[in-house]
Amino acid sequence: MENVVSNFESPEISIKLTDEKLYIRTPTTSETFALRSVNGIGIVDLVDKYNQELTVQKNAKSPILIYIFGGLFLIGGLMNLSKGIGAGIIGIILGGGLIYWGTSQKPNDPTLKTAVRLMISGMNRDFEFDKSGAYSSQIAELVVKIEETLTAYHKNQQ
Amino acid sequence: MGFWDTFVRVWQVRTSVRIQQGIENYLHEQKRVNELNANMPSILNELEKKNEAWDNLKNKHKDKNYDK
Repeated sequence: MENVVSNFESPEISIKLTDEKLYIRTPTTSETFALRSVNGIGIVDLVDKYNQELTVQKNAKSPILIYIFGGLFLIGGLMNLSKGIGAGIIGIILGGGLIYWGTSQKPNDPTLKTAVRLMISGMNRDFEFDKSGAYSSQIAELVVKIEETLTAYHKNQQ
Repeated sequence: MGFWDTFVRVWQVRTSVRIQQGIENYLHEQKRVNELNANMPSILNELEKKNEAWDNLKNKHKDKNYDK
C-alpha cells in the first residue's frame, strides 16, 4: 500500500505524490512516474513566451475605425432619441456594441508563466502554472515535498 | 544552353537564395534582440515580483517541514 505524501488538485491539473510514484492528471493526459525514474525537479520561468506575448501586445493596433463608427452611431442614436425612440435605441445599442467589441479585441496583459520541470531519465516534462495564481502555495508545497522525497529516496538506495 | 551555362545559372540562383536567406535571418535575429531589449525592463520587473513571492512560499513550506 502506497502512502500518499502530498495531493494537489486544481481544475487544470491534479498531482498526487506517494512514497513510490508521482501521478499527474490534466484534462487531456494521465501520467504516472516512478520516483526512481525522476532525477530531479526544477522551476523554469518561461521568459521567451512572455517576451513574445509582450511584443504581440505592443504591436497590437487599437481598432480606431471601430471606435469612430461606434461613437458616430452612439451620437446619432442620442440625437435621434427626440425624433424617434426606436431608431435612437438601435443607434445607441449599435454604437455601444461596436465600442464594446473594439475593446474586447485588445489582447490581455500577458503574464509570466512558469513550468514545473520533471527531469526524467531520457527527457524533461514540463507542467505550466502561474506563480501568482490561486494554487501557487499548494504547488510550492508539492515541489518542496517532491524535492525532499527524491533526496530521501536516493539516500535509501545507497 | 550548354552544360556550363546551366551550371553557372544554377550556382547563381542558389547563391542569391543563400544570400537572401542570410539577410532575412540577420534581420529576424536583430528584430528579436531589439524586441527582447525593449521588453527587458518589464521581464525583469515581473521576474523580481513573482520570484520573491515564490521563494517566500517555498521557504515557508520548507521551514514547516523541518519543524515537524
